[in-house]
Amino acid sequence: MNKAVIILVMSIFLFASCGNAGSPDPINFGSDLCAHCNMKIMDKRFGAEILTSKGKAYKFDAAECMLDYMKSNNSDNAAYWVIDYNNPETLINAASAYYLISMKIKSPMGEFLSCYKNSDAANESKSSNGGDVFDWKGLKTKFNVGR
Amino acid sequence: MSALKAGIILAAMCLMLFSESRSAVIRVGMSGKFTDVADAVNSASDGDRIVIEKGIYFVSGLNINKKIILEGEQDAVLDGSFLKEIITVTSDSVIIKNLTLRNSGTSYVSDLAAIRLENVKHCALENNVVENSFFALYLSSSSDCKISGNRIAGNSVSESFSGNGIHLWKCSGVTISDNTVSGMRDGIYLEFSTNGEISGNTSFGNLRYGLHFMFSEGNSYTSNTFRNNGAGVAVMYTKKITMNFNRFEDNWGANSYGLLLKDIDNSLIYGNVFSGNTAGIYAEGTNRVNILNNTFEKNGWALKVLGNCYEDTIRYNRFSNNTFDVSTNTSKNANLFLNNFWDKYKGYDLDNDKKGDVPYRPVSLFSLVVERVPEAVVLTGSFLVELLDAAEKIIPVFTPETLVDNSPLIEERGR
Repeated sequence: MNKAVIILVMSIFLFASCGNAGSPDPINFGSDLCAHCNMKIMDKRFGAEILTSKGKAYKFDAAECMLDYMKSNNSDNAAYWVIDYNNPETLINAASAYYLISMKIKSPMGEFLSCYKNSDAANESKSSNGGDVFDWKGLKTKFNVGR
Repeated sequence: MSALKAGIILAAMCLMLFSESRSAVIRVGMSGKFTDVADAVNSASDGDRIVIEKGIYFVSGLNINKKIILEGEQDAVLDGSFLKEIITVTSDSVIIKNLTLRNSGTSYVSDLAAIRLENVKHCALENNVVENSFFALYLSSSSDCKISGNRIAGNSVSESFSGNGIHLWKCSGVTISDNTVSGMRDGIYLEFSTNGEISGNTSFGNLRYGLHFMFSEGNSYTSNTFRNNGAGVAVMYTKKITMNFNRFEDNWGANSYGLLLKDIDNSLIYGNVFSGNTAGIYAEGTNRVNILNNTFEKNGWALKVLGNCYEDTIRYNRFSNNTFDVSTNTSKNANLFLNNFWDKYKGYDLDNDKKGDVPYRPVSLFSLVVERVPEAVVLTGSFLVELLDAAEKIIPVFTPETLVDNSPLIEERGR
């Protein structure tokens, strides 16, 4: 009886962890360190994460830190996530996100870069802050990230 | 002739008196002309002095756009009621002193502060107390201002939703002296700011850094104390920083350090004391930095120098009672270690030149092991570890061969 319960519980955990394989590890603001610049991640409007195919999470205090990290660290099949500027602490898929570089938005690592879940949100922010909107591919080109 | 001279002097004195009388003193409070600070500021003109009497005044979104002095008598409190910025200064030569400011607004979108200086010159913020504000003193695109003798206390103990104590953005020539900052995100923060002088401040109990530089070259900080912050001081992506005679104390915790150097060039670290930190100095991408005459005591690691540091000079420092003197993650060394005092040095000085005759290797084998397997730190001080270290010291195999002090000091230099 007891054994059956334990097995059941363990399988639930196993199942649960399988289900989570594709979603990012939440950033613990105020305690996690940026994998690139070593700073404590503090600002809930900014942040990014690389989830490798093996499930290891690299967290960053800003999207520009992740882009800088990507220049020297090539991880295949990794998933990239960024914090939605309009929804603090919420990680969204970097590949489908849109980006605004506006001098009015001060991001943690000095690149004035904010991230949005779609082009409408990015353009809406652009209309009040000015600047230029990029998609993920365009952003990587802008930051000279290979591939 | 002398009558003419006297006449000129008299005329000059009259002129001074006249101009003096033109700058009025406006009192705010029970016995004053005004009871509202904003009304007083609106009625003032350039050169006036506004004196605020004892009391609590509601002030929010007050814009000072003329050259005035705003000054508090004892217990004059400006309360922002958590709404907006309390005071925004947009005129040159404004002085704000002896006031208590509390409860600024907080916002995700804008960096609200108790006092903001926006695009101004020659302003001074002196001897104010700032409590319970999001950002405390925020200087944006301003130059040649003075921030002195202020006491800033935040209450952000665990939340990350907190601002910085003294925040400089694109400023130059700002003097920050004799302030006390605690309980904020970063005590003092400089971004894109140059030629600042930071001295005599105490920054403690802040969530992240006591002092933080980003992209800010040509600054100096001297005779400050950084105690018990998330990490002491971070100097990042910059060059030409002078760091002299500071104390870095009790910055303790996982991944904590007294001083973080990250991508920094051509700087000087002289005469500081690093005491009781997890790591005294953590250096990454640090080039041509002189680390001279400092004291490292009671740290977990005195120095962590990563492999991407080149041409740094570590000389005349004193290392005592550190668990590890130096650790690194590489077998190569591109920095000079010379004439330091190491309390773990067991050499001799036969020629009596006060310098040891055999070299000292500050990187122990065990510190390399701990670098690879952090959990191994529990073996510190065990017999086996000491045996390994002793063997490695005699015949270095794993530790960086060139990371060596060829002429260590036998005696401690005067502190």
